[in-house]
Amino acid sequence: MKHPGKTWPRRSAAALAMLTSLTLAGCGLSSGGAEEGAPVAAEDATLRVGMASDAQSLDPPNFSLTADFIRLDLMYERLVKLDPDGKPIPGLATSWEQNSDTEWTFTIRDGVKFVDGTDLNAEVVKINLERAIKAPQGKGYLGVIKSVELVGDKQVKLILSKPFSSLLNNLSVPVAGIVSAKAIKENEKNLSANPVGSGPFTFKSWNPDERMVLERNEGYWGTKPKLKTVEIVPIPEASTRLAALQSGDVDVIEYPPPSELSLIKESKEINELIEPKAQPVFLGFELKQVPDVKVRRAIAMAIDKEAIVKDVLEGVGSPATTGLIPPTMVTPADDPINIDYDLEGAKKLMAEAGAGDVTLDLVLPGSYYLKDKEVAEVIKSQLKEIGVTANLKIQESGTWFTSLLEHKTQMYWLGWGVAAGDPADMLTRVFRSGAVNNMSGYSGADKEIDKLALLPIKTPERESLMNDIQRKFIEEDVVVVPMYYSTNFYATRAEVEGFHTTKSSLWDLSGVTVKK
Amino acid sequence: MLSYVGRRLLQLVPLLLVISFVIFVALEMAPGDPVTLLLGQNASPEAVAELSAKLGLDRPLLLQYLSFVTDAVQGDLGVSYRSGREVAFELARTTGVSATLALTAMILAVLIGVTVGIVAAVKQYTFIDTVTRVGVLAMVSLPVFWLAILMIIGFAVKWPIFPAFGWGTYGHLVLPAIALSTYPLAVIARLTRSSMLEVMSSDYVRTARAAGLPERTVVMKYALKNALVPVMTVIGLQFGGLIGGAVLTETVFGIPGIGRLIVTAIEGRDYPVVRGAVLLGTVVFVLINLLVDMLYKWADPRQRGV
Repeated sequence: MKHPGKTWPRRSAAALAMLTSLTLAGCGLSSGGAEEGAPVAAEDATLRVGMASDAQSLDPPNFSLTADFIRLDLMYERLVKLDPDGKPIPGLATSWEQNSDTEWTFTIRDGVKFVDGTDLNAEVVKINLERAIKAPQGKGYLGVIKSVELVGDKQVKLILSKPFSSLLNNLSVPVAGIVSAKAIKENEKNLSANPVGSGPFTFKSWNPDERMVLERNEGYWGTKPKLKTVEIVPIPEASTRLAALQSGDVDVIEYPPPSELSLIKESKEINELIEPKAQPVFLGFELKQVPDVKVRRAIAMAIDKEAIVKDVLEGVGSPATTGLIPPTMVTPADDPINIDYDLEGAKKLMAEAGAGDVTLDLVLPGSYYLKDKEVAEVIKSQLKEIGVTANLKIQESGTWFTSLLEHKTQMYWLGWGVAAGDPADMLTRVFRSGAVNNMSGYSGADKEIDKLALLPIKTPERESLMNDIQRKFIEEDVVVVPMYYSTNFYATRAEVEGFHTTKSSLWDLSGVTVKK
Repeated sequence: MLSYVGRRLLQLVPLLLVISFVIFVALEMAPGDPVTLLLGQNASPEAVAELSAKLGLDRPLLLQYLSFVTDAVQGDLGVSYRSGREVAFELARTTGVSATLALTAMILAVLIGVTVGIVAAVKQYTFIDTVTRVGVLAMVSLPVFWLAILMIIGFAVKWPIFPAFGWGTYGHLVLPAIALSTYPLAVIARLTRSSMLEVMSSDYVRTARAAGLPERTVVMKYALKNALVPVMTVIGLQFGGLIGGAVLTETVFGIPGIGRLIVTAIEGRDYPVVRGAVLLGTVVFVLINLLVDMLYKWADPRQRGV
């Protein structure tokens, strides 16, 4: 090192280059381009889907989040399925019978094999349900099950701790997916990364944050899907997702940037897919902090939700004018459950309340639902008209959700997905006193909400009770202002046919083909 | 030199202890609670209490910290609350990816930045110099994510030369590496230019010219060597900046690197992953600075023995 300056720039550049090529090899980069095979028949095609986030856990009752439900649903079946109208239909159970308020018997389907070759039977179902009721997510949906008894090897009897009419709905949630008992016994710790189910697709590989590959389950007992392979790639940035769709790197994406909707509509290569979803988005009040119902009502009257949906959401979603529960989930009441837009009335009511100028915090996430920030800006300007200053507090999603749980805000912005398809579930979790997610601290409809669990689902009596409850907390007590019903929002390439979503935001891939 | 390196590495130990404690306290004080976020819609008072106990979050903070340190010393960084995977695994799968991206971006930045800086200095006040100065200013001001999206629309959609997102081939590396390199490239070019100008007017360069050495030799052999010493320090500092830039670049390009891991972990309050990633970041930052200091000593004899 006598002449350090002589050649060091060149030498260190060479060393760096060498280091890079080593690292490249170390992390699996190859010089090959994207895999382009020979043309494949539409039936054996691969569907590549770009999602906003990656999966977290693929073990149904353990820490699976709603973002995981789509993946779980493709690989795991449940005892019960929901038809497009939300009616329970046979899944892995062929039939069921309610013996009493707290006792149900399910008959298990014959001839179902898990992808590891083991058979489904009553014992497997018992092992699964007993595991689920102790697991963090499983307990939330199935905790009402006190015990599971075998009745022969084809039937199980579920004993509930209290009457619970939406049991069938909750058994249809991906969290209640039935896992191979052999896999539970031998490999429970790794189930979150190595799913073993009986669904139409089987797990092939998963590189976190990069790609998950599923393949058609050739031994599937039901109608086999036409697709051979499904690749799910997480692409967090919406603009990149759309670009990847335009370039043909993926065939389907969820949540394209809503601002690009007109571009998608004009394009011949890309189609938009907007389908109903079981998720209302609403503005809520923390009742202790905004105690005057007149002020709350004036605020509800001052918000023009029709204009917001039309101009800000550009039609992705529909204004919530028949209550908090989307009309696709409950038969709407004869009189719409709504506080109509009436600016003059709102001003009068504010004067009557004698509240003067009011300043209220509104806590919201930046972009968790659709264009939250933009919607909130419009609400803010509409409230200004009646002398209410909405102080927008845009928080990162984890902070926002915790602020709500801790009742730290006067007004909040929240959407609630009803994964189990029974709106009573939302009413119990968000409007029943004592519920952790009762962000408003409401307790005015406890008796009625409790009664829902006793009435059989999908009966006129139960639906009209749900409408009465909604009318109470929306029109009478003004606990929340329902804003809009969200939609599943996807964009697909024109080569993709038959891609649909369900109200519970799952995919229906049964008829999907990809022409290449 | 060896004892110097050893001393520097030993300093890492108290540094890591302090940093890990700061993260512990910061995460505890930050709003957002991992348990309610994990449970989401399924939260009930019993479920919250049970899960807090299971994750050990119901214990006093100091106790949690002590058991973290005890485990970490034995190489166990814990398990992600979210995925159930070992933190060490999560770091291993993402670090190589981010290192490749950062290193490629840095090589681009150094090679192009230094070249542009030299040319601009040698051709001072010419058209080339003006273009360079404007270009550098533009590159410093461009937000990385905006540039990245523009590049995707240009080179993946309009002219489909490179993939729009993802990881796995050399083609996947091109756009993100260029996007990530712009800022350090501009900083290095600007510094090289001013440093070269300073050196070029020094006595020994004049002497070299007077001795009749060819201009090329004067610039490349005598001036550059000295001009690059301050540039090297900046390269080390820019590496730290790359970690921040990687968060954006990896998110926009959908790259499975450590930047994205950290963002997802923070959103979900996945404490073990956040802690592990910050500790790793600290070690990497210290090591890079150590490397730069050693290069510095190597290049500048006056620094030796200091």
